[in-house]
Amino acid sequence: MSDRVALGSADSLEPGDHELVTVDGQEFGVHNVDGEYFAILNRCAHDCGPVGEGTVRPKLVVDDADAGERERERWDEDTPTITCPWHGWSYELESGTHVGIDDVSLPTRDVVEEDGTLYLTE
Amino acid sequence: MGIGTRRADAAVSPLPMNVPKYSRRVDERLENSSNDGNTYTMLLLTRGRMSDETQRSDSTASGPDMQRSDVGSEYTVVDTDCHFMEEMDDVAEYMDEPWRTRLLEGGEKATMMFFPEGSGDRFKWGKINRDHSGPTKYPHGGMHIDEIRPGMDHLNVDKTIQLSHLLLLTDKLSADDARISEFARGYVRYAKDTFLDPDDGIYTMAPVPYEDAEASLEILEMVEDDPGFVGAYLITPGSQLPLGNRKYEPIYERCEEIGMPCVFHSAGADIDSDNFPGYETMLATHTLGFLEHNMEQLTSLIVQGIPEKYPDLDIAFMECGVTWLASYLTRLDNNYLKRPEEAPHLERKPSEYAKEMYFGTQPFESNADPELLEGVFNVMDGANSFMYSSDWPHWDYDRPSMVTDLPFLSEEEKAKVLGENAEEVFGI
Repeated sequence: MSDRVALGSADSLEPGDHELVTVDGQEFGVHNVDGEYFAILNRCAHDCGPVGEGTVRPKLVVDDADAGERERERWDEDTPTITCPWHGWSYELESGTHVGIDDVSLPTRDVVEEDGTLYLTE
Repeated sequence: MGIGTRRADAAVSPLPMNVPKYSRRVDERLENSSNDGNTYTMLLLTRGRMSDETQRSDSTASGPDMQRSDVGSEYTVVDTDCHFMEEMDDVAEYMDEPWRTRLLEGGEKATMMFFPEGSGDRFKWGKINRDHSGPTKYPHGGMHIDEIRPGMDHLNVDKTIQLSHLLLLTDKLSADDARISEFARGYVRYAKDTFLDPDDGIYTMAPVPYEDAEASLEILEMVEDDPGFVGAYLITPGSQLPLGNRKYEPIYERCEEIGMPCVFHSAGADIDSDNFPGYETMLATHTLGFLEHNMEQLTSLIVQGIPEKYPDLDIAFMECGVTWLASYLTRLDNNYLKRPEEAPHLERKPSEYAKEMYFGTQPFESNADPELLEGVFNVMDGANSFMYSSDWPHWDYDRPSMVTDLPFLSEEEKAKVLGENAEEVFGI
């Protein structure tokens, strides 16, 4: 793939928006999550589902608690995840790593903004 | 390009209308690609699920054309366990009085509370999406008959056996309760009058209210001459007694007489299920429950000698995968060899009877070591006894890719599992 591919105007991808883009034959879901951009392959490792169009939510984590105490679940707002709408496989948007296991991951790409234009990079 | 034209919270269609052709060439290339030796990763690679740097450099390897593959198109595919998410309102129109009036005039609350439901969200709190039914009204239906065909197209199946979704909720009644038989009669009339179309590959099964033998036989009589009804549909949780009990024998006797397969389908397993007090996640209860219910009834049927008493009765089990069979039946055989006098009807090991039954593949454990899967197929004679099932539109449905991707099956064996076994069992 080329080093850098222009995607379009950054203004048109507002927070909460996503768009599918095809670069060198690969389709990526490009997401604006609270002003931060992510791109992940739009093909789930499970059964080829459209994961790049899935729901984006923060990663759910649990804090340690003393023995016998109920642990508190909370959202890790710094780690957005995306879920395949077909069967629920979920991945960290930045790394592409499956939320539950480390040895399955999807390709991701960096998305940078320069002079109001978004670029997909290696 | 039009960045920003779609919002992330927009509805995601699960029914890709332009399904590209599956690329066998891609699979062949992936089989030769590098991998890290991890078995799971290897399976995903050979199935064309993973994208690695080798693929990235090839413009055709991982693009959209292989993402929404219409796998199975080269086979005749029969979906032996697909669910019609019927609305209670619609079925109520076909029910006898006084239930018809009660439900139709009782409003939404009356229909929603006709059968109890459990807690938990199978759709992962909004993260798994279907165009219809699931996110908004599950488990109380919400599907229109016009949505059957798009579902078949999404799965790429030629014939579908649509099973009542609402019957799956009746396990919580766990009694000789008239609501089940009243619903079953209404469902039979509703199915006949609306969506059944055997000439176009759309079938269903008769819901069997097995705690009421008289009503069960009446319902079998309603459907026995209708080509749209291809089986008797019994749910495995919630029976007052294990289903091998003599109480249920009139049902099996009649099914054998009319050549109607008995299909035992798992259900329940909600977080607050009586079976699992204290569990807090569907991950736990769904894993346990769907397996436990079928395991219980398979054990009862075999130990009580139902296959010996009704040797021409076809028996199938649905919706708990296949990998458990090898280990569980080995254990049952082990005990039988030590205590055969407690199963005097049996003339062979329990596993021998199980191998003559049929098992739906869903939810197929595609995550398993391929050698384990191959072993299960060998032990169970899976090429002749497993039948593809989707469970669409439920949360953990399977596409035919679960079968077409298996590296150890021949093309002939895939054709059997995907359709030919079901065509023989159900006479379709």
